[in-house]
Amino acid sequence: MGKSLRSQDKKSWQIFIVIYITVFTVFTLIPLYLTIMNSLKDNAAVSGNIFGFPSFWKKGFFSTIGKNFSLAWSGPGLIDGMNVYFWRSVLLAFASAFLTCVIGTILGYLFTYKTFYFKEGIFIFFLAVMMLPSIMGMPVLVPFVSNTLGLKDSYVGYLLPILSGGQVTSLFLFRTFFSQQPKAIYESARIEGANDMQLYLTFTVPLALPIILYCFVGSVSSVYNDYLWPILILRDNLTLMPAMKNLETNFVNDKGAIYAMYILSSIPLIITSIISMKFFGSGDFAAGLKL
Amino acid sequence: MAEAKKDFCKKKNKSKLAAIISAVLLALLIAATVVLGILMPSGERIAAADGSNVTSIAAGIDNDWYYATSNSSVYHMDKEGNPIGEPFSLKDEAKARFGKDFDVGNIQSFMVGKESGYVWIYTNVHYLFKLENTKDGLQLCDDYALINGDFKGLTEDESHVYVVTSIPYIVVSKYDVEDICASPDTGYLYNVTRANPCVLELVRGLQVQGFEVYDGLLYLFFKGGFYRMSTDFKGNDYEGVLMKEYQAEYEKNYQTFYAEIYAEEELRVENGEIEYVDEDMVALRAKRRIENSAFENVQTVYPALENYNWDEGVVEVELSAFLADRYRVYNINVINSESVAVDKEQGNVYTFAKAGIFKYSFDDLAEIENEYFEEDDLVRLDIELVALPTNVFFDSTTGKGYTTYQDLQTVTFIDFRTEKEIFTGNLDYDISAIIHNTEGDYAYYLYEDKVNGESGVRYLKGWNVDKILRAETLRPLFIVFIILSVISAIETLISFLFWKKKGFDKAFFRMLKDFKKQWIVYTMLVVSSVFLIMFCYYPAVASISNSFFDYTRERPTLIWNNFQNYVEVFTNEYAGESFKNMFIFLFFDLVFALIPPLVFAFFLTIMRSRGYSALTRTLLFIPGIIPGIASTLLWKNGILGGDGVLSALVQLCGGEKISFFSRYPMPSLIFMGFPYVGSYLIFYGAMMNVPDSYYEAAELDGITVMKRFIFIDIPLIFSQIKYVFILTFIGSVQNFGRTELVTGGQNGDKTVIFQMYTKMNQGAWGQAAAYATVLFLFLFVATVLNLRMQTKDKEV
Repeated sequence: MGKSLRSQDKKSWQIFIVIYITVFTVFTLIPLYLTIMNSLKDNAAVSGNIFGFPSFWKKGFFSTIGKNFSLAWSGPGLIDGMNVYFWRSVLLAFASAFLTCVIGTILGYLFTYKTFYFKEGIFIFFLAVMMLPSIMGMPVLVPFVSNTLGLKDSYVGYLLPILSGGQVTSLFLFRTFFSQQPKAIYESARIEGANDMQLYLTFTVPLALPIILYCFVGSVSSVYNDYLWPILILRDNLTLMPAMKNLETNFVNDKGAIYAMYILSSIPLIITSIISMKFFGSGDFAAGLKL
Repeated sequence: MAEAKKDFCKKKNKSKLAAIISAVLLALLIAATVVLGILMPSGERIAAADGSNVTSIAAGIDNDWYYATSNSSVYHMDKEGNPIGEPFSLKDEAKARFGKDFDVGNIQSFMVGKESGYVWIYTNVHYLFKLENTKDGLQLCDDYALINGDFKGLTEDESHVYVVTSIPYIVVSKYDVEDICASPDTGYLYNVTRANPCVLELVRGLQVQGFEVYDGLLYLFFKGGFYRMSTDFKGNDYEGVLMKEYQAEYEKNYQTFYAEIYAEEELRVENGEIEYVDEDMVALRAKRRIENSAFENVQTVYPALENYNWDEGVVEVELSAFLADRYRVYNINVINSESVAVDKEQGNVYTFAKAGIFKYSFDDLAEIENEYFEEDDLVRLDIELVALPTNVFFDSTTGKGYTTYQDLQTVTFIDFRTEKEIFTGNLDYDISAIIHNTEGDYAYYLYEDKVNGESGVRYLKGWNVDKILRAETLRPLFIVFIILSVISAIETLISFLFWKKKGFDKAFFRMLKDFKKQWIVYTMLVVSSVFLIMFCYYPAVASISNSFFDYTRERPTLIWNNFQNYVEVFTNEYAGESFKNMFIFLFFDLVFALIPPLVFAFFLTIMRSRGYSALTRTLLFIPGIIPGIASTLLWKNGILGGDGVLSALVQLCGGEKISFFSRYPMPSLIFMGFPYVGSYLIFYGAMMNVPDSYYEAAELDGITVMKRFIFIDIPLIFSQIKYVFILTFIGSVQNFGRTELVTGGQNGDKTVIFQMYTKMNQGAWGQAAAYATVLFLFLFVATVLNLRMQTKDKEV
């Protein structure tokens, strides 16, 4: 390891570094610690000492956990829990991520391997969208989608603008990736008589699988985490993130359930994170992206 | 060779011809479009002849109409708006007729009696005057009345005029048409509770939608139904019954009270409080005083009256004394009536509701057993309403009427006799009256111009109905012609290129061929582009343009408002707070996004223990899986809140329980995310990629750790730093959830984006667009840099 200088090898420096890193890591982990521990405690314990350890040696420990998580999931009595919102969010996030990837790969394929008129012009036309911050069009987009198109509170109205904007970022990602691929295989396949459909399905998609996954994971988390757009366009069909603020008020007497809700709401991102870890290693992929 | 040249010339001639033909066509189309544009009619605003404001309008019975101005003048016009006769000045006439001191006030409303042909004028000092339409123009009649209470309107039958007022109980006063000086019969409205005894509660505060006399019964319509009472007021006016029993005593009391009040008034004249004694007022007050005093021994006088409590407006009568066939309340259960048109001649009533227009006839009422209308009792007309109807302006002579809609310029003109829609078209916002002449081909309306006009002033506009109709048919045609012109222009351009530019034809046909061959590719691109235009470009461009207009949810107009939206953005009550907070957040976000992660990443790279470094990185990966919103809420509840960690620490030190985010909102929000390790991974990855040789060379020069960090690592990973900087910049300005989730913007932590969201929630789209444009300009440099960096680096 040649990363360190001899002067840094001094014991005092290394001790300082280890302490520094440990302290920072511990502080960064405090919110996570709070979430996990408090989701295992009953209301009195949460209110009493938020930092305390759950009393897992006592009787009823497991029933507290069960109560917290079932409360968070299906709500107290007739009041809504998070389950409806959770499934809706998951559906919308995965659907939009899937469609973004499909549209992105197709557009990327077109812009890389096909020649057509006005190619550069159209590409710039697509690219220039990235200059517009997402909030720019909202004062028009909201009345346009909900009133003019009559799509208020509908999934289609929610997804269309996301996909329209998402296709640009994914096109850009895929075009960059495809243009780094060797052209030779495509040429030889074309000589063999393969058509575009076959090329797309047998070469482009399989070869781009990691980058498709990267795009998919990114899209899932951005749609799943979105807060502003859903509250503007959805009312009865709200997604989980904006709904959580209201759901919390159902659990004023079961604070453990609030923390259980945070954990449950992380599940889709845990899954996507595991997938991305498996493919990209822990973060080195992001570091390896040329920025 | 010569052959080819000949061929070329032939071709050239052909394309020349095509170019000329298409140029001519284009010129024709443009001319047609211009002509159409000129032909597009618009209504003419009519100013009052004496320059004052028009206060009310009324349709006459003979193709004519009237309007009244704030100077108390009445103008008589023919259907095209040409004056008939001299204008009538109520003030001058009344002074000439009734003496110099007579103050008539201003005309509040006036209407033309459809039975008698009199013009009724009601002024804001409660006088009701009667004008006769003679050969010499309008003449003021000798008889006039002083109306007690808040005037709601009047209607006529063959011999009487009925005035509805609220004092605050709803009272109907019946005057003889030929002599309105004589004191009127009065009838009251009651809500009836059917038990024995019947409890009758006087109606007050009613929103009267309309009333009409039909077949000896007076109908008074309100939002949920209507009242019906006999016009002789028998069986509903217990006050009237009482008076007749006590006629002699009444007269005696009246004289006494009149003398008393007159003396009081004379005293006031002497003291200079008032100018003269108003005898009408004295008479009225004397009458009211009797009413208040005469009910003490009602029980003995009128046996049907069980109890009479004037103050609470409650009467109790025996059930047998209640004449249900002469007095009734009907409720319409199925619809929520917004306004009513009564066609007296046909005996039909039309109720306008969100669900449509419903009809029932007065004759139906005889057959209805209970006091509720059910859905089966009503007929729904086959006329589609555009939105929630607000007012109907019905003319019983023509049987036609206009309906206006809430927050729309649109009106629908309906012929109620045939039950058909004549047209639906756009007039103006805030129309308070529409009239049309007997033939129905001219329409006049009063409206308030809230955007360009003076507030509170109503403007008069007149339109030929055919013109309105023409506008409705011309508008789509106009759009079609514009589109055709654009297509034709493109075609002309192409044909000129064919003619003038060598080789263009071949290239063009090649392109067409390619379009045909690769139609799937082009279709996909077109579809994608259409979505892009619809949901990205159009909103952004329209957002900028809307920011200059008065564009709200209620009123999406494209009316220039002199940068009012921008002025509002920078001068509203929270402008200072929101911009200050935006910059504070921006500053801290940038500092925390760069410095702690850089230091942390640097320490990770120079730490000797590789295992510990890997462990740390794995551990730090885990908090990232909590969704951002959940993490914000967690900070709010678990750390900053009253039950949170910080509060627990304070309590440990002997302090009180404290909710940091409500006590110290800004520091709390800035503290959120401590210790800000954030995007260290990007820096770490970049530092690991710095070639070792750089360090080795530097070490030979005896560089220190600090110096190495500043002079080697930071410059070498500068593109990553720039990347994080720009992303943080964009993210921080647009970070809306932070304020919304933790404090709801209540404690002085509003930001610009939060203000924009508030405006959007209020439906102030124009102002929200102004916010968006300001933020866009603020972010523009950052986004362009971001875009350039991504394209440059990724395309390498």
